[in-house]
Amino acid sequence: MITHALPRFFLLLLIALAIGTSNAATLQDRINAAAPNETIHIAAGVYGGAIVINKQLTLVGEPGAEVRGPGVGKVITIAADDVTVTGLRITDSGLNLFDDDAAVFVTGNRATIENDTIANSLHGIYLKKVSGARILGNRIEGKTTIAASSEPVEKGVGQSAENCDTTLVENRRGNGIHQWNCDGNLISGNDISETRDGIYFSFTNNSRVENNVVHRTRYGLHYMYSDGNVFENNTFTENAAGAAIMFSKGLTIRGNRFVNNRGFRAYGLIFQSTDNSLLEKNDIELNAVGLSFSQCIGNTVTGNNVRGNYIGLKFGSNSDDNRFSENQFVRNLHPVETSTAKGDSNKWAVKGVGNFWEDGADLDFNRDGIGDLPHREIDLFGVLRRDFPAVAFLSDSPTVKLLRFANERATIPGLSTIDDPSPLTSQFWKIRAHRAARAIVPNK
Amino acid sequence: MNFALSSPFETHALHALLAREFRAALINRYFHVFCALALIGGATAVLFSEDTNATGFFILQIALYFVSLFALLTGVSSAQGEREEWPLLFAQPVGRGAFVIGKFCALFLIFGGVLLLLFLPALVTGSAATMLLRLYFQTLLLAAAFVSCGLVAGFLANDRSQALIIGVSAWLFLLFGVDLMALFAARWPLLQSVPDLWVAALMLNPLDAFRIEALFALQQIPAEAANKTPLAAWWIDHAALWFSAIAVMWTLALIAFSAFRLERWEE
Amino acid sequence: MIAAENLTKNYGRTPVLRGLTLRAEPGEITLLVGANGAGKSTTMKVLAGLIRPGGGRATVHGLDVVTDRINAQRLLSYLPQSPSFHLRLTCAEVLRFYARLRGVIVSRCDAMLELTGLSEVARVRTGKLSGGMRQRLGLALLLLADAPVLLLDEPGLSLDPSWRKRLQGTLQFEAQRGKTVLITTHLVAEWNGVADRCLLCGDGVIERELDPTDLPHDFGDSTSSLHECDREMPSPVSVENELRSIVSI
Repeated sequence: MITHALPRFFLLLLIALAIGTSNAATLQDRINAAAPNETIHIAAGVYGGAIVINKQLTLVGEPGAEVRGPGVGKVITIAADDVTVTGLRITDSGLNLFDDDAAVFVTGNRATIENDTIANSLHGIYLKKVSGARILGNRIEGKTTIAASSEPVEKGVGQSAENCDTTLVENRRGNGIHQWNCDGNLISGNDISETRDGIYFSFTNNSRVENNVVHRTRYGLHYMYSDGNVFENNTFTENAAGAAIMFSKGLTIRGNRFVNNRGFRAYGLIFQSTDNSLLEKNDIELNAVGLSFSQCIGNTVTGNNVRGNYIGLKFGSNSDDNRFSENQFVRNLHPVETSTAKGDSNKWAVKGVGNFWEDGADLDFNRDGIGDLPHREIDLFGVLRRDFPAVAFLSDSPTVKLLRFANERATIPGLSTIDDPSPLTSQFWKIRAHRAARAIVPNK
Repeated sequence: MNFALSSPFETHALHALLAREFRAALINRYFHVFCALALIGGATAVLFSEDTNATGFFILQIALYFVSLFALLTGVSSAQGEREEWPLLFAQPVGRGAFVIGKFCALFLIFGGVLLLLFLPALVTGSAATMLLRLYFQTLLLAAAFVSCGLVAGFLANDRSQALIIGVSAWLFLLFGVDLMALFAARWPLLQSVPDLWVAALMLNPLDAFRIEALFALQQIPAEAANKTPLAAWWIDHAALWFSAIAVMWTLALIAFSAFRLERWEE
Repeated sequence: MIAAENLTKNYGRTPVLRGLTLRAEPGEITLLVGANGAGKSTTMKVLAGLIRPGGGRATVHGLDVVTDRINAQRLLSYLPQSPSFHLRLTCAEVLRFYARLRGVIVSRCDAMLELTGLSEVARVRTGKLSGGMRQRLGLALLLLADAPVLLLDEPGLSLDPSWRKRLQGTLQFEAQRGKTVLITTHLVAEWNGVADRCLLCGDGVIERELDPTDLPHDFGDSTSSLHECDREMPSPVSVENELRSIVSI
């Protein structure tokens, strides 16, 4: 019985494989055969990559349609302008970082990549020297393991674990959405996880990034040499660092959530060498370091909620002319880590409105929601935090509070401080809302 | 003089001691003030906190400063309350350890009730019942340690003012002194090479262990930021277990010391 | 029975007891008298298990007060010189506490309050009692447990003469019931004819035994006299009748 059944089984398997490969051939053939502007509907099934789209086309995947790469190189390459790829599951790119291996590799302008699911690949979507791309509603899951039997892509991929899958270390993974030398892209509503960096910007300007969720990556947003971009309402959570923004200017970062980025030296948001940007109404919560500022000039930081972080604000040296107002620093174990000295040109109040410091005195005789005494935020541990990290065990201790309280009254020499001339009281927002409501109602 | 271990557990004696302490507490006006403050504190925590986490943080501050001090003062007051009566009390056929244990048990139960007042508003209005209940038990253990500390101070001293000086000094030392010394010691290069020793000294202090537990375990403030040694990491990961152990250890040690002190006491 | 042999005790470098030996027998009232600093109170505290002697041995009905303290204490009741009580508790609460502590039935408390004339102040906090009332409450405690050995350290100092006389009658009655009664006092003359034995303590030892029927009027610093209390003295017969009714509780 078994002797008869086995040959039949292998025959069926061969037929199935033949159908699979013939599908792939069909898809590239269909693309090659299609007229420009044509829409190709892709039925459920697995289609072999790699696919190259070199004319203006729309690919629409039906539910269950998957384009599976051979495990080397790119899976779908979009080389023409105005291509749309939607509804597909795209998997199995190569793993070579030097070759820019990716599930979707785009060099054509104005591509739309929408509602695709990308998995088991190096980079998810790689945009190279393109403009006007629209990356909407995709789900990108990074490749976290490789089969032990497969050839090592590069040294340091991972450690052998007998015949089981091997972890692909974070540094060797690709990015969720990778942009280089782009302009005016829109990245909206994507869910990115387990990649190296969630969204990567390099020399990419005037883009808009909104409503994305990036989690369990290295840097949620890795951002360099890119100007004039807008980030709104994104959530960066459980990453090694929520967002690292460096060497850029003219950004707007508004209404984003940088939450639960908790690893050792993890950050909610790093701002480094970034100038003339607006950081407004973001939630920066439960991070190892909430907001880190170094070598930044002329930024406006307002209305942010910096809460429950191990270090609320890390304010490095050489930052000038930044304006902080209406931010709330609440329940951070160390509200600030700073090396600034008195007399720097940063402003901790704008037009008489400072920030809310939880441990500040709530003295407000004229009840305008602004404290009558200036607030001095001290960094008690200073370099000790680096030289002797165990000092963290003194976080929020009564002694530390006592010394900070004492410093409010008389500066302790040798300690760095931040001086807010007009600290807000806890009632500030209530009073302002009340005044605004009265202003709306016309006087009778 | 033999230390009659069996006597503390004579039920009639323990019953008498418990009943007396309860009675004394119920008619003590400071106790009434404490109950009222606990309730006000609990209500304030709810009213002025925007979420349950903030409520927990508020209560944590109350526990750290207020509950610890009040527990200590209660212990001092209870031990000193009948200082003049000792010749009569200790001539009774009951092991002197029984007086310590009886007092402690009664005060522990009383604190168990009073602390409910502190947590009740948050429990009624909040949703994070598990976190609050855990904080309640941790606060109770903290109170137990400081009640015993107060008992030692009360039994060591010859009069109430001396007892208060000893007790409050001990409280200030544990609350501020240990940390202040630790902060200065942390700058000492020799000690920086043995961070575990430094952390151990800190974690032996119930107030520090309580703070670490409450901040990192209950409040979930990222402790990963502290570049820890493996031992320090274990401490933070098992902060609740460690705090419970250290609080129980302190309590037992202080009760044993109180009993020893009473046993050695001569008029 | 109380037996002390060669008791020694130093307070710092000052010797208080220097080998004191005494016996007090059941059925007798034994007085321990002497000047201030003679070692009377220290002896009583050793016997009550409150302080440890530096040397020597003391027993109560054969039980060592040091090595078998709890069992020895079960056999005795001790009334300190100035008994203090929990200031916030009432007389009744104090008595009930000690009754429970010693495993005595609580119903005896009311009888003790009656006997010591404290029924009317049973619900008054002890902090509001006069010195004499506190002393009477101490007496109530002394008798509460019905222990076979009674130790009283200067029992009459705060009592008015009539209550001092009543105290004597009570202790005579208890002695007649077979109890061992050991009393230290400065008011020696008052015990003329009441005590069965009188030991003169001086410089940490028992110097000699005095004739209990011919005790001096004044000893130490007391200025009281026996004649002062003649006027209000209750009849010994009435005290005895009252006590007999209590014994049955």
